[in-house]
Order: sequence, then C-alpha cells, then structure tokens
Amino acid sequence: MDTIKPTRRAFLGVLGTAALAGCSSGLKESPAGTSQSLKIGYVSPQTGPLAVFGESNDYVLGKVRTALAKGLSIGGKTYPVEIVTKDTQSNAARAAQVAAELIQQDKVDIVLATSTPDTTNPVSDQCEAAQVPCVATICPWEIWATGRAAPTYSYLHFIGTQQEVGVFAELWAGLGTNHVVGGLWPNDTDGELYRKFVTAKSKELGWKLVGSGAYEDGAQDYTSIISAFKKGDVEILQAAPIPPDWVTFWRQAAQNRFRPKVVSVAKAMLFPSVAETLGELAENIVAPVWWSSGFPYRSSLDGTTAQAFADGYVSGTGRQWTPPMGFNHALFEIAVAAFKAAADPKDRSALAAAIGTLKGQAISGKYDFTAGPSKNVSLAPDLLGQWRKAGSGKYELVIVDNSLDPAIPAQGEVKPLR
Amino acid sequence: MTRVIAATVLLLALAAVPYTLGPVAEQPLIGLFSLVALATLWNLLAGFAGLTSFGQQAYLGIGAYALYLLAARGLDPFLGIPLAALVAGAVAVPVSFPVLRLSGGHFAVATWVLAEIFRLAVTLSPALGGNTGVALPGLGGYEPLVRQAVTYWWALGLAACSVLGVWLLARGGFGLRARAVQSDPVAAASSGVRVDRTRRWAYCLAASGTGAVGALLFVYTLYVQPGSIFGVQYSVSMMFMVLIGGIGTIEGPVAGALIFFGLQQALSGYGPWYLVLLGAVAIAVTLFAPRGLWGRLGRPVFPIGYRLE
Amino acid sequence: MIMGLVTGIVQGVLLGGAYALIACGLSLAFGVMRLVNIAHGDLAVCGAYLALVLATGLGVPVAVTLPLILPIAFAAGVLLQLVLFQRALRGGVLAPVLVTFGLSVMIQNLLVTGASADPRSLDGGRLAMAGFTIGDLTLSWLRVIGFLLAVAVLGTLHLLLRRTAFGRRIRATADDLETARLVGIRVRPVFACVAGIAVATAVLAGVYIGLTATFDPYAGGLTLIFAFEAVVVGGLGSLWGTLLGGIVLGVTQQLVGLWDVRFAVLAVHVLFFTVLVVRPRGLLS
Repeated sequence: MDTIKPTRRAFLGVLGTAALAGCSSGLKESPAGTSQSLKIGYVSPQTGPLAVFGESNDYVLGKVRTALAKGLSIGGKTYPVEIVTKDTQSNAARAAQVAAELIQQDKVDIVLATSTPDTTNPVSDQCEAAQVPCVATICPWEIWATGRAAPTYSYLHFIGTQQEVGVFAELWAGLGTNHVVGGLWPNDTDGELYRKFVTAKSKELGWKLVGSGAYEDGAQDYTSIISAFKKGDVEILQAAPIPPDWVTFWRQAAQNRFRPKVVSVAKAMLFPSVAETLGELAENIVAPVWWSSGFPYRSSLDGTTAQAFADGYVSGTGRQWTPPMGFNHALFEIAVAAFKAAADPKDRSALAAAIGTLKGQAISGKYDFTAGPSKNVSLAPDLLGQWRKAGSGKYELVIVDNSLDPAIPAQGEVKPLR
Repeated sequence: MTRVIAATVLLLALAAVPYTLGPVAEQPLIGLFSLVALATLWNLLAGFAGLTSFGQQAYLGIGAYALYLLAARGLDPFLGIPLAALVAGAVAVPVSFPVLRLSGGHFAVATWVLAEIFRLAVTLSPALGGNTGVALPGLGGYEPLVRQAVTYWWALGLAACSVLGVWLLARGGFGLRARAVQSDPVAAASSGVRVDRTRRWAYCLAASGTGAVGALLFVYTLYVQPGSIFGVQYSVSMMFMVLIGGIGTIEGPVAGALIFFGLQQALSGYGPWYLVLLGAVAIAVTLFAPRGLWGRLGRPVFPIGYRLE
Repeated sequence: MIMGLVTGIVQGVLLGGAYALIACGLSLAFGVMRLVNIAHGDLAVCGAYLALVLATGLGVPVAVTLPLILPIAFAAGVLLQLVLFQRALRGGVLAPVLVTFGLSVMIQNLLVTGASADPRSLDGGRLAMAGFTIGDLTLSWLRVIGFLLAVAVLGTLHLLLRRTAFGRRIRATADDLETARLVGIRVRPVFACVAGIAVATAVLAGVYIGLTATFDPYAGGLTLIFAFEAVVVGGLGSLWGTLLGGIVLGVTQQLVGLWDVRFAVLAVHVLFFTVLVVRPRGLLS
C-alpha cells in the first residue's frame, strides 16, 4: 500500500488536473453559512446492529442542548448553537454519506463522530477531504490512526488497545495461573488488533498462547475453538468478540465444560444488557472500563457530575447507564472548548488548529491533544472492572484496577473466575 | 426529435450544476445518479434477460477494490473508474458460465452466495485491508471543490450512459432477443435465439456497469469496507427501485430511483419507522401495481420500438 | 488427530441438525408452493421474542410456552398466506421475493422499535448449560436435543405428507397445481395450512436458536442464508434432503474449522456453490 511512486503518481495527477484545468475555473463555491450560529454535526449509529452504542443519544443530546440553550459567548459575541444529528444505520458507507450531507447541506462548523471504526474512520476521511474539523471517539486510536494519511482536520480522543493489553497482562500476572493465554479474536478490526498486541505481550512475558484463529463475526458454533482451548489447557482467556457472539461462545463454553481462571473480554462486555443476558455466567468477567458513573469528573458545560449524569439517564429511561454516554458527552465538551479557543469559531482551519491545542477535563476525564501517542490523538486512560451482581439484583461493573488513572477510585478487589 | 432536444437540454443543465448550484446540489445528486445507474443496470438483468440477481453487490465490491489497487499503484482515481468497470466485466465472464446454468430462485441465491464468497475473500486478504477496509489514496492533489465536481460529472455520466445504453440495447436486436428469452426461453431457443449468449451479454454488461458504480461510490465515500460494499442491501434497493418504478421499461427504474431517493431524504430522520414504511410500500406496490408506478401512470418517454434489421 | 476428526464430525452432524430445523419450513414452503420466503429467518426471530415475553411475563420455563406459541405461529402463517403470499404467488417469480423481503424489513424494524437492538437470549435453565462426556468427546445436551428435534419435526412432516389424506392433497398440489384444481382439491386451504406449518417450524427453530445463541432484531438475515443453503444442497423440496444438506454443511464447517477457522464459513459457501453448479437439483432428487 505504501508502494506509491511519487513521481509517476504526480505525473498522472498532473495529467488529470491538466485535463480539468479548463473546467475547474468558475466552479461555484459552497455558499458560506450566512447564519451566525455555530452548527455541530453529530454522527452515530442509531439503528442497525450497533444501535446499542447510540441508545443514550436522546438523553445525552438533551443534556447538551439544555446546557447550550443560551448559546456560546466568544470574544464578546454570543453565538446560538445548533446540533444536527445523523444516523449511520450501522453502515460505513452510510456514515460517509451522512458526513458529506452534514458538510455540504447543513454546512456544519464541526463534525463529531462516535462509536466503532465503522463510524469514526469514514467520517474522519470525509472531513479531511472537505477540510472540515472533526472530533471522533470510541474507536481505539491504533485503528483510527493507522492506514490513513496524517490527519490535519480530524482528531480522536479515546483509549488505546496496546495500553489496555498491558493493563490486562498485569492483572493476569497478579493471579496464580499456568500462564497459558487463550485468544478469541474474530477477523474484524478489533480482533486483529488484540491478536497483534496480546501475541507480542505474551511473547515478551514468555507465556504460551493458544489463538482461536480469525473466525467470522456472527458465527453460531464455537465447539472447535473450545476444543482447542481445552486441549491447550487455557487458564487465561482474552476475547474481543461482538456482543452476540460472546454470549453464544460463553454459553457453549459452559456446555462444553471449558472454564478458565480469568476471562477478560473487550468490546462485548461493555454493556449491562449483555451481562443481564448471560446471567450468572457474567459473574467476575473482567472488562475494560473507559467510563463509569463512578468517575470523579464533571461536565465542563454545566458542572453535572458523572454520577448525576448516569442517574438522570437511569431514572429517566429505566435502563442502566452505558459507557458511551460519557464519551459522547465529552465530544460536545471538546467542540465547545475548541470554539472558545479558536480565533474565529466560524473559520474552519482556525477551529481545526484550535482542537490541537486543547488540554482539559470533560465528564469522561482528562483529554490532551498536545501530547498524544500519534498526531491529533488524545489518549484516554483505561481501567479494568469486573461484572458482579449488585444488591439490586442487576449486574454492575465494579472497578478493580485504576493504575492508569489513580484519581478514579477502585471499587473492589480482583477475584478469579473459579 | 423534440424528445432528443429535451433530453440534451436536461443533460446540459445537469452538467452545468457545478457552475450554477454548487456542492449543495451536487452532493445529493451524486447519490441519486448512482441509484439511477444501479436500478437501470439491475433492470437490464431482470427486466430484459429475466435474471433476478441478489448478488450485484459482488461487482460493486470488485469495482471498488479494483480501483483501490489501481490507485495504490499511482493511477489517478478518476481515470481508474473505467478500468475498474473493465475488471468487473472481466470477472463476470468466467463467473457467468456456472451461474447462467441456473435460473429463478436458484440464480438469485447463487449470486448472493457468490457475493458472500467475494466478501469473505476480501476479508481474508491483508493486501486489501481485510475486514477493516481501506481509504482511497491519490485524491490528495484535488481541491475539495474540484474533487466534488469531477465526482459529480462521473456520476452523471454513468447514469446517462446506463440509461442510454440500456435503451439502445433494448431497442435493437439484442432487446428483442432478450425479451424473447425472458418471456419464454424454450420458445426463444427453438426460434433460433442463442439464449446463453444473450443472457451472458446482459450479465457481463450489467456487471461492468455496476463495477463502475462501485468505483464511483468509493471515490465518493473515500472509504471502502467489505461488510458494507458487499452488503445485500444494495441488491435489495436495486430491486425496490426497479419494481416500484416499473420493470422492463426504461423510465421505470429512473422513476423508482427518484421515489426511493425521495423517501430516503424525507424519512431517514425517523429511524426504524422509515424502513417499516419502505417495506410496506414495497409490498403494496408489488401486490397492487405489479407493473410499477410508471407502468401504471406514466407514458413511455423512451419507447422500445421493434426495429427490424 | 483421529479423535479430532471424530469430534468434528459428531459436532458437525449435531450442528447440521440445527440448520435443518431452521430450513425445513423453507423447504416445505418452496416444495409445495414455490414460495421463496425471505422473511423466514425473521419470523423465527419473532418466535424467540414471543417466547421471551411469555416466559418472563408468566414466569414459566421457555418449554412451557411452546404449546401457546406454536398455535399462534400457525395462525400467523395462515393469515400471512391469505393476506400476502397468495396474492404474491400469482404475480410471477419476482413478486413473492419482493413481498417477503418487504415483510422481512418490516419485521426487523418493528422489533427494533418494540424491543430495542440489544441482543437477547432465552434462559433454558440448568439443561441449557449442561454437557456430558463420552471418552474424549464433550457434547452439549442442547445440541443433542436440537438434532433430535429436527429429526422429529422432519419425520412428522414426512408422515403427514406420505400417510394422510391431507398429505396426498398437498403432494398433488405440489406436483401439478392445475390438475389438482381440476380434480377438485381446494388449493387455498391446503396452501394456508402449509404456510401455517412452515411458520410454526420457523418459530420452533427460533426458540431453539434463542436457547443456544443470542438473537436481536437483525438476526433473521444471518440464519436465512444458511437455511437456504441447506435446502438447496439437500435438494429443493425434499425434506430428508434438507436434513442431509444441513448435516453436509455442518460437518464441512466443523472439519474446515478444525484446520483453520478462518475458512469455515467460506468453505460452506464454496461447497454450496459447487453443489449448485455440479448438481443444480441438489444431492437428493
């Protein structure tokens, strides 16, 4: 992919542009937004298989709209704020299309994109091509940053998988096991990433690794993988499946009497609904925590605490809070901070440059775009939690490891699965 | 004659959109034009050759990934579009031999599975980015405004070429043979029509055109992912448009694309309810207006006359 | 190595039973009415949701809800046939495909609005979590039950078709619709019953899927393609062929999966395609 020969490419590019030179003059510019309001576009999956990421959208957007109802006063001028939301229907092509709509039709000043690489990457690419500022979240930074040209207009604030694997490994090392790691990794982006980093980590530690092979997402049968894990005497299981596959796998593991000592599951065990579905099989499964109601942080828009923010959702909808809430809210906080930091909030390149200088705190915790692991990336800390049945009878994620951000209180001790 | 003038004026007016209306209009029209092209090409298969494919997304994907490979080797992406169409057509030739032995539901499911096979092959291929998908290289040199305009012209060109191409095909001897094959393959064969060849032409031409649209979609979205470009929902929307508009006519798929596009624009804010309504509309049209809305209400603008040779 | 092969084959046969259970309604509807029902998988998912609602609402085990669910499913099938399918079948080859597809889209999205997109699962109690061991082979009870259920359903349908007067009417209509009409068979009730049976088996399969795996409003499409493959590989309209087709798919998936799990699903599709090209009418026919 990096074998592009610059000279030939440049030559052909010149050919192409030369042919166009006659046509390209006189093209009508997109009329600049005449309104003096600040428009924020928000792209997320609301329907389709990823809808669970967007289920708290109405609540989050309601909170943000209330907080910004009076507009933003920047440099002595008050700008009303308008938010336009778009649904990706859980489809990457649709995500690109709605991003283009936001840019061309709605003429937004900034695009916010959230939830899985299927949303963040196509939307960021569109924004780069159209030279519109963009902030994305809920996609490990390694997936967002690799395979794309160095970003100038798009930014990402989220955790990294390599860092997360490091935290997992410390947790495993603290428990007495035979140091045999089993990896359940599908052939999707997240699966590839965990395969890469866990393989490297176990090599570094000198531990044995039994990989599942890159099975297809949506597989209904895991007996051959379970047999391989049992044969390899796997005591530590690391998995990154999509939620339905994890439920299927973990049930089949119980049926086939595969029960490792510690199980850490990324991606699939983010949501309380999955834990409810698994019932008692969910007890003590380790999952990464990038946001929880227990975070000691406040909204920079109106000072709401993480706890009050989560409680408001629970009492308003009767559903349990979900981790994406915090980061989706943080996107708006970052956008507002960027508007305030920019010399002119209506100037797209000034706004994009302003995001790069941001360093602050949101309801999701600290963000810092000045010192990320990669250009335009702000790295969020990653904690670990264990699913446990609470007094209310519901399963809750209890924070058991806060080594990456000790400001967040741990809520319990790590326990082995058996 | 007036029709030719009207069509030319319309085309010229559309071609001038980047100078008159700018990106505001270009952006939705690119989407509309690719729908028109897709519906027209699907109609070439279903309406004229009697082949109901659920697997045209295979060629969308092949076109898009062919463009990726070409662009990664330094070719200008816009120049790559016709080459991607050639690649899709070339892949369709060997594939056509096994699949065209089938018809009806068999053919539909076989083409669907074929698209799945292509999708899985791409996900297993690291050089094509696997499941993660790839971004289109080589467009960095274009100003956003120029890129958008050129994409628009390509979309307009593809839509116009598909409609005109299918019209010319349908008017000519090919159309006659194709419709003979569609209405009764056995009778057609016995009266000297080479059924296989007619069907193969239709299949490969549709594949090639669909490949060009796939490449165009890639230029437009800048990002391609196997799960999305090889999705069966593309074939589904082609089917919706053709049936709602009117199968076996030239205008029907265009009208269907307009209706589908309008529904999408007007109702997409309603999330799942929009799709519930779309499903209901499809059922209602199929049951109560099987010739499609154009077949029921419209008059032919592009008559498919029988021209004796 | 030998043990691995044996495990693969046994697990594959059991998995094939599950595919056949989903596929048999599809096979029946195609065999008798030439109806390609794209919404088959979605109807199955509806059954799983119905079982979930009833089991939690009434506080009873899932199995207890079946006597309530299956008649509802049968009635739903009859209704669908009378209101939609019957008209669609008169409209040529494409109409049934489009109508059932529209139905599929409607069902999926109505389920989303009614039940959200969260993945759900049915609680099968202790049995659903239990397995047993023979030698080195660990099998799940639920898989064994699923296989036996598939054999029982197919066997019952077989007896119904071969040994009863009603079955003779069905076969006569399937063989030649016009002649059946001529000899005085009232086709409409026959078709309605067949649709009812097909939907009831779909719903039964849906409940079974809910017990073994998870389901969400979009799960129908995923299961449909495998069910289709089982039907076509086995031979269109042949019930025992569908079981054979399911088993062939299941064993292929397991054995290839043992070698390299990446190619398991691809191998199933390639096998299906090969059968389609080499023996377009399927293995048994």
